[in-house]
Amino acid sequence: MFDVKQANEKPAKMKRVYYRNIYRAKSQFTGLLYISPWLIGFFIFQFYPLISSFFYSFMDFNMFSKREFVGMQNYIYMLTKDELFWKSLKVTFTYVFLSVPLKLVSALLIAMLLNMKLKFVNFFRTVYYIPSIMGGSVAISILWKAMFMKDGYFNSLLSIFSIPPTNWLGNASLAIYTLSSLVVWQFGSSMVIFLAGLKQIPSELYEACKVDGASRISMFFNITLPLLSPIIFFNLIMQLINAFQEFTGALVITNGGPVNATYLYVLKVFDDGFRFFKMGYASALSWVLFVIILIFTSLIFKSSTGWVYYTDGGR
Amino acid sequence: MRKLRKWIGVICLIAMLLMVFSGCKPTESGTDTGVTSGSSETPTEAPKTVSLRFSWWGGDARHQATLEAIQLYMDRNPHVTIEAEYGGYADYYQKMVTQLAGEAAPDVMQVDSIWIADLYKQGEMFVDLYTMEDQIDMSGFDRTFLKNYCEVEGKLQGLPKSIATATFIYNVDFFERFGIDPETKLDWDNLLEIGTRIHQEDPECYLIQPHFGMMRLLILSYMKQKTGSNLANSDYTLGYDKELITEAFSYFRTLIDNGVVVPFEDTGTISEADEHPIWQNGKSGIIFNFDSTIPKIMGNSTFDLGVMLPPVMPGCEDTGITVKPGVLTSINKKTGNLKESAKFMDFYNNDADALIILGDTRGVPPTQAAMDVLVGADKLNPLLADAVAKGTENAGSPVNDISNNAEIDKITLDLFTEMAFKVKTPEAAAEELVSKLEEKLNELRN
Repeated sequence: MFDVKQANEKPAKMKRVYYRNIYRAKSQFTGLLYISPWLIGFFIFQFYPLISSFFYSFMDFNMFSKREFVGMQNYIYMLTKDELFWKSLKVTFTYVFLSVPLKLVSALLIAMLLNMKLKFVNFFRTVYYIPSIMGGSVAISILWKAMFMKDGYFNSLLSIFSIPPTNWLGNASLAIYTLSSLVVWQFGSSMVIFLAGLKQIPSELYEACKVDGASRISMFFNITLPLLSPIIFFNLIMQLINAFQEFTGALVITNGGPVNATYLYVLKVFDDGFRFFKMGYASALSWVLFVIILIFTSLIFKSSTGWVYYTDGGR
Repeated sequence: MRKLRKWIGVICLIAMLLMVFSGCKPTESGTDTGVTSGSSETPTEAPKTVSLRFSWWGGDARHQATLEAIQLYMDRNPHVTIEAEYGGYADYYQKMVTQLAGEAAPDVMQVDSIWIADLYKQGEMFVDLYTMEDQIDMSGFDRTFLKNYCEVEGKLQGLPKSIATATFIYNVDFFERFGIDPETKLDWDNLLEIGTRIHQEDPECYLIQPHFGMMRLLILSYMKQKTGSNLANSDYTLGYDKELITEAFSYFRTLIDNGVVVPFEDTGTISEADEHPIWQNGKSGIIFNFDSTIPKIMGNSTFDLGVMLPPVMPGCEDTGITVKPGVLTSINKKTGNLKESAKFMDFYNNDADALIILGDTRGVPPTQAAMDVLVGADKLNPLLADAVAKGTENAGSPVNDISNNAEIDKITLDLFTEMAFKVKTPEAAAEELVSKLEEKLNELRN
């Protein structure tokens, strides 16, 4: 039987749904409008260059001439003929595998110190964060250069303890180790995240351990590290990505030298693109770096199931 | 009320966006509204406002002087505004190339003569200044010099603002201490002899304070003196054979082994020789560099300086002494203000007041008239003038374009450095250099 009440309700319901959809669309539009300056910037300065560089990587392109499609030639040349590609890759891996763990360990240690109940702790937290603000700048790189040269302040300091001067940056076999350790002091951002993570660990857990007679070391490995593992995971990925893209320090402090011993991958990309005008080739190099970072990030993500502990089960 | 607030928000956002877009709009190479290129200007009309951009690299003294000269030009030509874009040499080239590619380069640019051939290959970047002779007075410039160093395929890419020569800049006290006569005509044998003696007398002292790039130039001059040819020939073949390169590298290794040159490792990462404590403490005697660096070196030295010719092999075919334009000034081919740019170029190169203000901040001027103005105003450093006089008197043949190629340069410098750092023997470095250069030249030819 035809229900009059239901028939009257249906258009009203449809109307409600219709207005709700319009309202949603409107508010989404307003939201988009608010973030549009960023969106436009992202599409123009990041998304478009990303996509176009992929196409350029298959081209012979020098910014001025016509773009000529060369297929896989740039990639083949890179893998088979360009010795500096392999050299810079080796240097970059050394740099990443040295600097990232060093930085994370320092950040964690300082964060743990600053998590203690100390006088003026807020002051110290600010002081330790300062290097991160100015760490990657050209001025600081010049300062490092002056400190670690043969007649620099660091050797003068060592001479007080009768340690003979060392060529920290001039020695081809030492330079990459020196460069890797110089970035360690920019641990501020990781430190702040670690500190936030440490604050989240319930104090009852430590108290219970203390009652059971656990040592500080045991508490660190059985409580702090597991509960901090999601933060370590996040910091590791962020620092790894940054380290693979390191540029300023190597350019200013050593300019890739001596004997290309600190010729990081991004310096090579820069040289090929802006010194030799080989933009197509530089794009191909950039995409290879992208893939390398992708592989490492994926490996860390994959391995995270084995070592990252989420209190909520990772939901 | 809420609706109104929302609308105000939206309007503000749109306004912000418009501002962002207008801010992002590339500055056109001249916001000229009337006086543009050619001879469209009617003399009776009042000149309309013109905005020019001028870029250069240099040190503080050069920046100050150039800004002052620009101000003088703007005072005399109130319709012209010149935006100055200046900084250091490092990365200037990369920035300029990117601007040229994006058609956003300044109207007038300071350019290094070694770049013009590479750039010309990508298309005409700069106005052929021979076509502007009616607006820029070029009567004082040496035509052969212009042809050898400032032209590509018969087109004048820029006007030299100075003449530069690679010279030995010595510490007068050091020379006196070790009894070296500055009038000595250096050749490769007595250079080794003097340097070895000095290091034997005082193991902390060295005759030469090296600069990576310049030491490579010194070695190239050794080979040029032996053969009379450049590193690469114009037909993309190699100018030197493996034996000669091995000989030159071995000679240089002897200089290092005998303590004639400060060990490369000890120079650390300081690319500028005069910034090194060994030089500043008076423990090294000579810096090999272009004369234009003399004022800077003077600033870093607490002792008097002198200049002398670098070593020249007796009876050589070519002295190999580099003489080239210190800097060129070029007009952007894409400028919208050709006539005004040319007018400024003329002022910059020929006006007596401008010349006095600019002094020798770009080195020794290339015209006699400008020299007379500077000497008359006592604005020319006598050391610079001495260096250029000695250099031009003994100048070698010009270095060809292909030998200045950036990739050729990188390969040569890398292998030279590996040899100097003793990572490779002179023989191994020479062999690798020959094979890599041949491969690269072949690639460039095709």
